Amino acid sequence: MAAVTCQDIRELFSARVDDALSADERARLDAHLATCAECAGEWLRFERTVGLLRATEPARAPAGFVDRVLAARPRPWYQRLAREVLVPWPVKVPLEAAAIVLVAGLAVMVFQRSPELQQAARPAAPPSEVTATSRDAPAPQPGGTLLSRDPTPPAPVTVPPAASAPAPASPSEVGRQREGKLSDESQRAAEPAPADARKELGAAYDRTIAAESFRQSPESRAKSAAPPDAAAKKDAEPDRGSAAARQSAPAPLALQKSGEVQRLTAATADVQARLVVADRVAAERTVRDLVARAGGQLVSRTDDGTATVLALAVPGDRWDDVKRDLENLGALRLEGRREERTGLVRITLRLER
Amino acid sequence: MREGLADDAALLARLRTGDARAFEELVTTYQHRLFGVALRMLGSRAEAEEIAQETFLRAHRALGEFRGEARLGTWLYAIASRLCLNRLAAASRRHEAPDETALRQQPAEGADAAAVLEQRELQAALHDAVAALPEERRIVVVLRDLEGLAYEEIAEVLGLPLNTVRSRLHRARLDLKAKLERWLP
Repeated sequence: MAAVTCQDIRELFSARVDDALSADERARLDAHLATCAECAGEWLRFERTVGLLRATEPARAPAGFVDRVLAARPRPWYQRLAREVLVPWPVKVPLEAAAIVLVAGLAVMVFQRSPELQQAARPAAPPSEVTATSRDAPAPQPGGTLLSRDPTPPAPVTVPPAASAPAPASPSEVGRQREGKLSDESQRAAEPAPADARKELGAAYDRTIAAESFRQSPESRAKSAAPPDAAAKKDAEPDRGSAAARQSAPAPLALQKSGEVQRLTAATADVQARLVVADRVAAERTVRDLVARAGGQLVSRTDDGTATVLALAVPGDRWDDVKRDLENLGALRLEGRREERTGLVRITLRLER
Repeated sequence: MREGLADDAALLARLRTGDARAFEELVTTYQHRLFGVALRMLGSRAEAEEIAQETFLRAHRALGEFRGEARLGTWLYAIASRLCLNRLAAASRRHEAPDETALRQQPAEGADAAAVLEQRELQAALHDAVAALPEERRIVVVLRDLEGLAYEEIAEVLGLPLNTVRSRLHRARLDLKAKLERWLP
């Protein structure tokens, strides 16, 4: 057995404290300590040192440490999102609910105030149909105030000679052109036979007025005045012997779709005129004649027993002539002339005694 | 003798499934041990708490990389030890005064004034002796005599050969014995 030094023995102290020596090492150490007082003392002090260390009270983490760690821990994205959106819930949840209600309310309001959005939301319907339907809707016809087109009245007008009417169909054609988008099927079906030039003229006026009412472009309005004027110049002299028949029977110049035209004419008459005459029947006949000569037309007629109300339409450039003629018939009082009017002038003329 | 590291395979399995309660359990189980290591290494309670918290947060982030063959406790001690040694290596740390109460023991109830005084003095001496140890020896003696880790566990925590652990531990104990001469027989 090799000689064991004190230094070798003291190197075993740690392993001895930890009970990590082999049986041989343990025997060798114990044998040396039994014979070496110095090493035995060192062993005691060594063992005591480790004992003091191990007797130390274990350290304790400060209170709340676990909570602080958990709060500092990065959370899964869905937990972070939920936390940011909802916490503190007594504040955020009511705010978010209020925001949703506000946005929904605004959306409804915007929708209600935006016709385009409502149109887009409807099931598809061709816009042209909608327009045609609304425009073709017949206006209620006040009983007795309208002169409907009668195919068999006592002919109040004379057909002009063919030579003097080089293009009998032209007013109708012009009118149809002027009519533009308004030329729907029902209107065409109701058109008169072209044989009666005066009826054609009436239809042309009708369409002109209707077109005016629908505010066509100024160019088309300007055009609309000329052809009836030209046609009226070629017109035969009026039938002066059938005034009574005209009063009792509807005038042949009554208009197709006259309900709407009459309504619009009355509503938008350019001139309100009052003419005091000695003889209403004679005056009416004269008015009809001079209006016809001016290329104008009687649109409607009403007689309430004390006055005869005639709705008239004359070309704007002939209005001054018509006005002068009316002044010759009696005391004329006028209201509301629209001077800038270049197309038709619509007159509501009240004949009184 | 303090208990060694528990076999927490079940806890590890729950942690890997993302069980939030498992992480809380982990922190609760190891908070005092990691805090203790940091406190004995750094001497400051505030710094010790900071290091302990950082240890858990890093563990939480790195759970996916944790090798199953190592024990959870060993892994946590390894993180905490590395953080402590890095902190000590920082130049700014060298001038900070250590916390006087780091190793103080509470006196037993009913002890007389002289015993209380002697106990306080002993604890102060222990604290000073440990604080005076070189860092590489200090961490070994802390893990062995204060935390109760086995040699093999310390070797794994510090990434050192077993003989180096034994050697450093023995030198640390001899240093402490020399410093505590007054309290020894």
